[in-house]
Amino acid sequence: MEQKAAQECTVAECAPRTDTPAYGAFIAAPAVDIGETEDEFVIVTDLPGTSREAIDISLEKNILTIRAANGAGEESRSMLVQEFRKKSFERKFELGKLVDGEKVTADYQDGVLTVRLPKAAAAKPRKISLVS
Amino acid sequence: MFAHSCVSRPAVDFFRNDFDQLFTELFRPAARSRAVNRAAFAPRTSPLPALNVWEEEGSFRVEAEVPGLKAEDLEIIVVGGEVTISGTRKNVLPEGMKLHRQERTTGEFKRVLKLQTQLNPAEVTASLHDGVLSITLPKAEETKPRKIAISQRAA
Repeated sequence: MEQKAAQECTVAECAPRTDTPAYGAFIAAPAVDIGETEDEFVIVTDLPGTSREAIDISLEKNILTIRAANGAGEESRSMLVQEFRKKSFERKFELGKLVDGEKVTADYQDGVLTVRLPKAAAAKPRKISLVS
Repeated sequence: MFAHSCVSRPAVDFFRNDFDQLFTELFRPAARSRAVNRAAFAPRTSPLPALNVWEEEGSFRVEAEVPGLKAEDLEIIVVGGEVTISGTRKNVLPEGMKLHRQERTTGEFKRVLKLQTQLNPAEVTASLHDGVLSITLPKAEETKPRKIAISQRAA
């Protein structure tokens, strides 16, 4: 009998997406793609204009928090078009037990943050062989 | 130049190409993999990159948020006073990946900016860093104000 991988997504949002200003700064929730392979969950986020130093990823209990300060966004008096501004990013995810918190890794390239969450050994599909 | 907002006297004519909206709609099914949970998709925000445009002494500046794009994915064309920024964002996911949620847009995009001032295409510079495209568009020499010297003429 083959053990099935998780049917439902174990990465659920624990805070709804809101754009709320705080301390004068504008906080936005960045767009994410969440995917799953056999070995890991992957969260890909758009964080344009920040830098490695400005990104903060923390995992506390089972809440993954991604925070970043945005460097891009000119605000001069003669703006002709303004569709984005200096802002902070924040988004939280609640991870289920299927994720191995110790082995989470992240990479930031071209304004895209990729967080890899390896599945705990118990969560991977495992073939159980029959004893003859 | 003027302290007015865009409403009273627009210095930028904003032209959104309706055709590329159709384009990105066509690309949508291709961007998603087969094993996809449609219920998890958030409503799609604008596929076009966000732009900031402002005027400086002698040039216009444009910044665009283009995360995930490399220089070869983008194209900038400058003609007269018109700037066209186009490109494709491919969302390359590893084989066999099941998507639980897709909020990041993919596909082709095109934005056209019509500035009311002639530009100098030969001097335009652009750089890409951490997902932000930064363009400097110097104004054409003819458009810059020139002081005219007044010569004395004997009566």
